[in-house]
Formats: sequence, structure tokens, C-alpha cells
Amino acid sequence: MNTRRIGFLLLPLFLAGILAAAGGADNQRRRRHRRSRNDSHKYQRILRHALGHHAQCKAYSLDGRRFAVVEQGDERLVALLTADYSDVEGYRGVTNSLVLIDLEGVIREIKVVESEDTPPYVRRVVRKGFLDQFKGLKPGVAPEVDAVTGATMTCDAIRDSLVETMKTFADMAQKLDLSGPEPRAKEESTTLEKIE
Amino acid sequence: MKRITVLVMILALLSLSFHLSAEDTIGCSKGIGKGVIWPRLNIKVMNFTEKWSRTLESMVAMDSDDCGLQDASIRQLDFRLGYGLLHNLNVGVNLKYTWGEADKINNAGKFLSLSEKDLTQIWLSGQWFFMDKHAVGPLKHFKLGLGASYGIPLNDTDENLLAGMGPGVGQFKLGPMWHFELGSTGLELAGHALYQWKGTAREVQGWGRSGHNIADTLNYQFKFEYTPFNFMECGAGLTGWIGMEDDMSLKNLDGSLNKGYNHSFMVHAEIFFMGDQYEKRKIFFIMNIPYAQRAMKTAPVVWTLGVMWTFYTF
Repeated sequence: MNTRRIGFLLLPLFLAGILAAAGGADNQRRRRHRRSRNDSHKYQRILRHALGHHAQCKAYSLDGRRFAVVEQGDERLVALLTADYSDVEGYRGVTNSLVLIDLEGVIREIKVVESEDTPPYVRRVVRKGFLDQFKGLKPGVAPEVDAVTGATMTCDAIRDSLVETMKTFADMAQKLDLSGPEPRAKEESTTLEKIE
Repeated sequence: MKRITVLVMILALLSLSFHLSAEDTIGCSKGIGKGVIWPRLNIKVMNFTEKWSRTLESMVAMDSDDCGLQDASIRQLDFRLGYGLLHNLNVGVNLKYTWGEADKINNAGKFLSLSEKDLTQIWLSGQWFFMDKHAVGPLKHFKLGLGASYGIPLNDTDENLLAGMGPGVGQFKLGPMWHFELGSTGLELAGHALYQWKGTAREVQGWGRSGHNIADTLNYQFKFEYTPFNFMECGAGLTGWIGMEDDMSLKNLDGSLNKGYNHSFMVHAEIFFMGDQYEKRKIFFIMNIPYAQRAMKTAPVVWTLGVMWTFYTF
């Protein structure tokens, strides 16, 4: 059997493989992302890692959406992971950022905790101070930030996921009372659970 | 279903090797970021089995007559070093080392077996993306650029030309390159259309292309790519070239000339060493299967096996 015939025999096999893979295999990135989203241990681990092990932090779920209340000195902040609120993808996938906001909804801190984009570009985004541009951003204000050259897709994804997160949490905050020692749902129809 | 899928893919991978999915001198139509060093090494294998017959005015088996080429093969090792000068501009240099073997019967009826190896070409190339958008209508990650490459011949000794290691002429390629994803399907479309100018060959006694103006070609590629797993990408498409001038090696019985062409199906598979986050750290296999071709000599399959890596200097 000559090589041309072998080639023509293998071609449909290969094309069938591509089609079968395309039809049967879910996008691995999204699957991995969903796993981390549903894993409460991983959630706690990410929070501890990002906030420091000494941070006083309690995690909750409001109608299935996770958030954490963090005590920093005399101040109470809310920690959100953007991947819980947004599916926006950058160059390769989702970048999950931890955003700390005060009770007025102003951004105090933002950190990338995990990303499916190419790591050197994500590190570059962080090193160039892209995230610092969001500090002090008030709720309802569109962020006007400069993307890092060469990593615009990652920057755009971080920005858009942050905007979606802030918008969604602003709606959630209407149903929450965060002034007491423990968060409390304002309405009985709202389900607030503590994540252990 | 999953097991069958994986089995099919592994079988295909084990069975196939493959022509470079990216343009072989200009590089991938996705480009490379600023400050990234991008080395690539690949080997291409071509065993020629057919040649143009002037008397029959068609492609025939190489050993079907008692004159001219009887057997020929080329192995080409290609090292490319690319660098991202700006986020939308990258440059590269290719060194091509070629092993050529040819058996032929000359006009005097003498059988000659030729075997040569040499550094045959250096290519200098650049790629500029004038459009790089996250989304354009239904398309995602839309990239449209211009690629150019200049090939300097190093293989113009009589022995190398007679052994079929290339025409030994200066060459220049120029044209658009594109890459985008169709919606959120994960299905990507990549390709290029490059006009390739070629110079005039030296006069060498006994060489079929002696003194010929080597015909310019339009090189094209359209291929779909899909990443079913984090560690793997596969793709399929059409690739080839169309002669833009009459080819002096493709004479008819009455002395008139033909234009050459080569149209192939191509399939490729890539294994990412570090997952698809590092999409250019990979080993790749490419196979071109021609379905229509007219050229001085043709191979039934072109196989390419290669490896590339990226180093980030920022």
C-alpha cells in the first residue's frame, strides 16, 4: 500500500476524530472553571491565600452567589471573586480576580487569584499596575482604565468581569444587611447561607 | 463516547505526521507578543513519486520511462527563530538544511545517483497585524495582518541543483494572514494568501531547470482549528499553491508551457507541553495530502514533525 493511499485512508479517520472531539468533548477550560466555582473548599483556600491566613473572613452564599465578609482592623469589607459573577473570557479563558469593597461599594483592593490566560501576560498585567487603576472606583461609575499593551484581551476581560461583578453585587446588596455582627437577609424570600 | 474520541485521536496522532500548519517562513497567523522569543525546529519529508511528462502532457510515475528523474526525495530541517518586536509586529529568521537524493538517467542514457546535503536557504521575515480585535461581529479574537519574507539562496552549487535541492534563486513572499474564532464555538479559522516571487535559475549543464525563470506562485491556506482538550489542538483544511506564470519545466510536446499547481488537504495535531495557556510550547505533526497537482515533481504526501517553544523576556 503506497503512502498516498495510507494518507487518504487516515484522512477520514482524522477528520472523524476532530468531529467526534468537537461534538463530544466539552471545552476543558470551562469545565475546570465550573469545578472551581462549585468547590467551597477551594473558595475558602483562595480567600485565605489572597487575604492572608490571619485575616478574619467568613464566607456566605446569597441565593447561590458567594461572597465573604472580611474584618480588617476596625473596618468591614466584602470580598468577591469575579468568576462567581462573570464568565467573560480573555485570550484563553476566565481570569478570576478577588475584589475587596467597602460597605459603600468602593473598590479598595483587587488581585488576580487565578487565570486561564497565558501566565507571563497575566503577570505582566499585574506588574504594570493595571489593577491599581480600579482602586477607589465607586459603584455605578464606568472604569476608564488603560490596558497593558500586548495583553489587551486579558485586561479587557478583567475590567468587564469586574464591572459585571460590581453590578450584580450592587443588586444583591439591596437584599443584605451587613451592619450587624453577622450578615442578615432583609427579605424572607432571600436565602442566605454560611459557607463552612 | 469519550473513550472512542480519545482512541480515535490517539490513533490518528500515532498514524500521522504532517506540512507546517503555519506559513513555514513567516510563522503562525496568530503572531507572537512583544518581547517573546520563539524558536521552532521542524523536519519535512518529501518522497517524490511523479513527474511531468512532456510527451504525455500529464503527471506520470517517475520510473515510467527511461529518461530524466527516476526517483527523488528531500528531507528538510528548518530552524526558525522569531521575536516579537511590538505587540503587533514580529520578525524571524529561518535556516533550512536540506538532504536531497535523486536518481536520474541523463540524455546520454547514463544512470546517475546523486546525494547532497547543505544549508540551502536563509529566510528573513516579518509579520505586522494591522487589525487585532477581541470581537468583530460574530468573530472573536480577530487578527488580520500582512506577512513578508525574503529567501536568500545558499544552495546554488551545481551538485545541489542537480540533486533537486531547490532552484537556488532569490524568493520573496508577501500577502495577508488572518486568524479568528467563530463566535464562542471554539472553532478557529486561520490562513494566508501569499504571492511568492521567484528569480531566474543559473545555467547548469544537465539540469532540467537550467536558465529557467522559476514561475511565481500564489500560496494559500485555509484551515479550521479546534482545541478539544487542554493538552491538544487539531485542525484540517486546504493548502497549496497556484502557478501565476507559465512554468518552463512544464512543457508540452509542441513546446507550449503550462502553469503548475498543487492543492492539498491538510490535517494537523498539536500537543501542548504545558496546556493551552502556553499554546506555542508544543510538538506538532502535519500531513499534506495532495488531491490535484501539476509540477516538475510531486510527492503523494508531505510529512512534517516539529517542536516549538516560547521564552518571555518581559
